[in-house]
Amino acid sequence: MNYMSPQMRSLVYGKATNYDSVIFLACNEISDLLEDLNSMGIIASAIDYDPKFEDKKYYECKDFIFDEVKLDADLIVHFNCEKTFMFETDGDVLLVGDNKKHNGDCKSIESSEQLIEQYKLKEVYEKGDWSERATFLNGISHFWVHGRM
Amino acid sequence: MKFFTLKWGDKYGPEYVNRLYGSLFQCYKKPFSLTCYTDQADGIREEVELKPISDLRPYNTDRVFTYEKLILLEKYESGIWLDLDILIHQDITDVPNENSFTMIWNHWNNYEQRSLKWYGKGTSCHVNSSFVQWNNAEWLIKFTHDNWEKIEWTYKSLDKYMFYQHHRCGRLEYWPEDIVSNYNRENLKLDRKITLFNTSHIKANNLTNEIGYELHESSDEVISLWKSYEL
Repeated sequence: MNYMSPQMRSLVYGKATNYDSVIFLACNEISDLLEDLNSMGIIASAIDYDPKFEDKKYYECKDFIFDEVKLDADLIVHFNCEKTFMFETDGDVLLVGDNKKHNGDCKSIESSEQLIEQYKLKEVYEKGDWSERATFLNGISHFWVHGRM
Repeated sequence: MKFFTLKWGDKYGPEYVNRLYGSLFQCYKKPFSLTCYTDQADGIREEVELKPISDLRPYNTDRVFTYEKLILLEKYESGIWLDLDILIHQDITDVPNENSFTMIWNHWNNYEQRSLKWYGKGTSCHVNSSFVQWNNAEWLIKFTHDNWEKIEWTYKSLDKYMFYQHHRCGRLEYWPEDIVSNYNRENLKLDRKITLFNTSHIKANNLTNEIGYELHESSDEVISLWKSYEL
């Protein structure tokens, strides 16, 4: 089962295919995307601490905030910035977060500017957002920024 | 044995502390002490040693609910901390062990359905810190202080921190299944030796379909036993 929305899939494909190597963080099940990118010659892998990813192809089952991990790809993509502390790297990033205020969130993401500030981006290439309706009355917005840390 | 409990705010009155002491007096047959860290000492029986809860708050935070318990590890090499809303109702003299850190595993919940299914969402928690023993757990003190900024940002409660960081890495021990039961999750009965009545997770997780009774809201039989510990 793939958990990516069409908007997320479009965003990720659009950015990731411009790099030679990509690491996806907190991404849940994206095996088909990883397979696709690797078949295109892009070295793509994922880090997610959910035990279901132990021994899964292309996955490293670790907590990238608390465990020792190497974030040495040309692009680091974080799918759920609202759910984690800020990771450290020195290079290009695609950061995505939402204002769903889910019970398991650490800090709701309310704007692209918030992501830029939280991650202290040195340069912003592009930013944006998309919305979806969660209930009749309430909508959820997803914010993203592509830049350099 | 040194037992500890924490009481702050107005959710629980002094009777919770007094009856907890009484239950230890009845059910733990070796020498013991009970220390209560609190912001309101009025009405607590004199056998209980009182200390200010502020002694356990090196961090100015409203997150990581009940992190104060971990600060006990800095102050005392070993001991057992107890939540106020548990009921000890059988002999626990032989329960303590030599392990570094022993928590409650929520064996009354289905691990696959309740915790593994939503693991990545950050909502899982299959451990409980209502009755915890430690022996020289320096590793936990060091990890907590070294990673405090991340912990405070990430976790709303001590139990989630313990589950996602220390259970995940295999650092925790758990009480055998015949020690602790859960009144609200196990048919409103007093089973095993110690029974939990905690309901805070219902509000914290918006579990609107889950029914939960606090100790003072439980059956007449349970309340009668609980009150008998006040003597």
